[in-house]
Amino acid sequence: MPQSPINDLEFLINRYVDGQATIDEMDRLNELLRAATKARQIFAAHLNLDSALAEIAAGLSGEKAAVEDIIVLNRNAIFSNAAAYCATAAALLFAVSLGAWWWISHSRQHDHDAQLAPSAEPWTAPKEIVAAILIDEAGAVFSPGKGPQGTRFEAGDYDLLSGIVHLRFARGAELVLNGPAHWTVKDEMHAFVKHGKMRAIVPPSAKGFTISTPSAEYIDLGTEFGLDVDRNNGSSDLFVFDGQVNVTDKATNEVVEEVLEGASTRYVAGVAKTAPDFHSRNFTTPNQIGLIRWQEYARKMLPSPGLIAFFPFHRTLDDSELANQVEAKESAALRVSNGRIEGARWTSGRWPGKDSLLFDGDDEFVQIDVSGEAKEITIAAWIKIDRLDYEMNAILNSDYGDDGDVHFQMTRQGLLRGGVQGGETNDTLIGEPLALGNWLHVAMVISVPDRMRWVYANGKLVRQGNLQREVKMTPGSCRLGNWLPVVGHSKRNRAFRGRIDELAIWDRALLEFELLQLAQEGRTSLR
Amino acid sequence: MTANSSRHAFFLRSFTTNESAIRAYVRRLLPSRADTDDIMQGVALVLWAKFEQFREDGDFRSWAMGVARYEVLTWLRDRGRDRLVLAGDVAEMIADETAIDVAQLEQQRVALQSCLEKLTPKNRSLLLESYGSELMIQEVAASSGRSIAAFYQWLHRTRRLLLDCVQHEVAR
Repeated sequence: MPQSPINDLEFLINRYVDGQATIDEMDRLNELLRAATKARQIFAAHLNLDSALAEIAAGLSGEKAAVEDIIVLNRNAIFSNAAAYCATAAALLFAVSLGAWWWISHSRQHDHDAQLAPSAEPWTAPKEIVAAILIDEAGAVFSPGKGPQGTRFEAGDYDLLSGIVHLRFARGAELVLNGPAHWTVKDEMHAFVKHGKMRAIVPPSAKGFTISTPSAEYIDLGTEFGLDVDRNNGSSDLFVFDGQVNVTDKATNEVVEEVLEGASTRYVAGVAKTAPDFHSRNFTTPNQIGLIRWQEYARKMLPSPGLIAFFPFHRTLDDSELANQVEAKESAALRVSNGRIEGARWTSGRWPGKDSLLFDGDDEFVQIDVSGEAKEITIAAWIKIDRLDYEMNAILNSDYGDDGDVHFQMTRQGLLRGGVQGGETNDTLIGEPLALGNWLHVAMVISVPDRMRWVYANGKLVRQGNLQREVKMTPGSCRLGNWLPVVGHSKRNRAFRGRIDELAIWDRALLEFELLQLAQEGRTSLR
Repeated sequence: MTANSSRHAFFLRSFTTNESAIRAYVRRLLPSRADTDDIMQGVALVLWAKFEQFREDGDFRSWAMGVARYEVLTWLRDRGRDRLVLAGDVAEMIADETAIDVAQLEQQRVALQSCLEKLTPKNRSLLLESYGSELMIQEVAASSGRSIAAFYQWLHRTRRLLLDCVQHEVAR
């Protein structure tokens, strides 16, 4: 990831605070803390909390804790005379008399709403002028000190060790670089590529965007091209996919060659050589990055603790089957079947090459069986809403509405809601409605032992509530994108209108940082 | 009261007033609460030993934090080599940047009290048990009916909720 993802930071801080961090995790934590002031502030907030909780747990006010230290001082014979002991006794009296100490004085019942606040404000970069910004990435790893500040690329050297990054320069030029690659951002219209492979997409607003290499200089005239700069001898191969690129002499700035669409060139130390065969393979497009990132994410997803179902929405030979890639485990509280597709049609998903199901009729759904009984559950899906036609619009709903059934759906206003039937959730936080027409990560987490239900959109808490009663959670037969209603129910039709291209279920309550991570890994792009 | 005992009373007053802030400052730089306790005892000893050098009209907290800073960074350098601790340069940055004023820290702690009251009594007691020294974390986890891993996850989630709540309360 490109520097300091907040979710990774929180995970590492918690591991550190609990004495669980490995050497590798400590290295990552130190690196994140070294890189950003904001990370250090978050770290300090966690440690302040830890310190305060420890004092409260010890039943010590600040003064009492101090007196304990003073008693230790005495034990160490710093005070050996009677006057000192008298003074220590006075200190004890002083501490006791300071009845106004903060948490003693504030231990009265507060009568305001018992509501926990929504998440901290997002981590925003300072508004400074930057030459380029990071649009997307997949597995990007930079050399220490040779990466972007958050998503900002200022003038300077960048060394991508592995992965792929997509940058957009301030004037609109876009570069997709495959690691390993080393380049220098000069300003919003100039870059130097020491070595690496990249695709450039240059709109008219950035006409004249110039990339130099050890061997040549390329001035773009509004086009799309690939450039492959050899690490060893600095030779650079140019492949023009669209429009025209001028090659200039670095010393004289004279145009030495005009390269048109479908053509290629090779320069070594300023001298033209035999052009390589034209091809466009291995020059990643912006759209491919998300898919590459998701494929890696899907691979890593399977061992996720407590994962009982992962539907990646790969169209197979059997068009009516939605495959669950997780094999049933004896130890799991729930077992999830493959899905049977009724009516919903296969279409494209978040990226080209990714499948999804389109739900566009009242009788369209995927039937999935979730058998067993769980104390905790997390349901997460990637959805794109076309319309919200009904009072309730189902994401994943147990059939009917018996006690223990699980419902995860949206209101006509686009507010996520859900819970376990019979648990009677008392909401203490309701966030913003969902946007139509965008890919969104939505998730619901229920913990019966904690008597809590949380709902998240794009990793951010949007609804929180307390379960009023203990209830056995038994989702049973469910419909994705619809609901099999109870006869005579007033809100019978709950058909979802839009696309779904991923569904995952865990038999544990995922944490907020985990959901944020899922939302980030699966996002269509950073922008 | 003799001059000596008067000076001692002044030390005690200054130390007790600022101990919480100094302790939090030390905790921010050390890997565990046990290490913090050890260092705090050493800091108290050094502060008293050097108290003669402290001017009565000086800023006790800044002076004490300076002493604590030195003690902690020395500890990190000497004993931290084979341990899972903050890197020296990182610890220095945090030490320099997070010497927040007592008013802010106290504000947060008042808010924390209010936020703790919003947890269910069962969860509050579970949380504080996990911070107490009486029980091993395994015992606390077992008493909650969770595995160790699930319990740590619960702890992480509860801390996040408390931090969000504290931030919200302080901003009110």
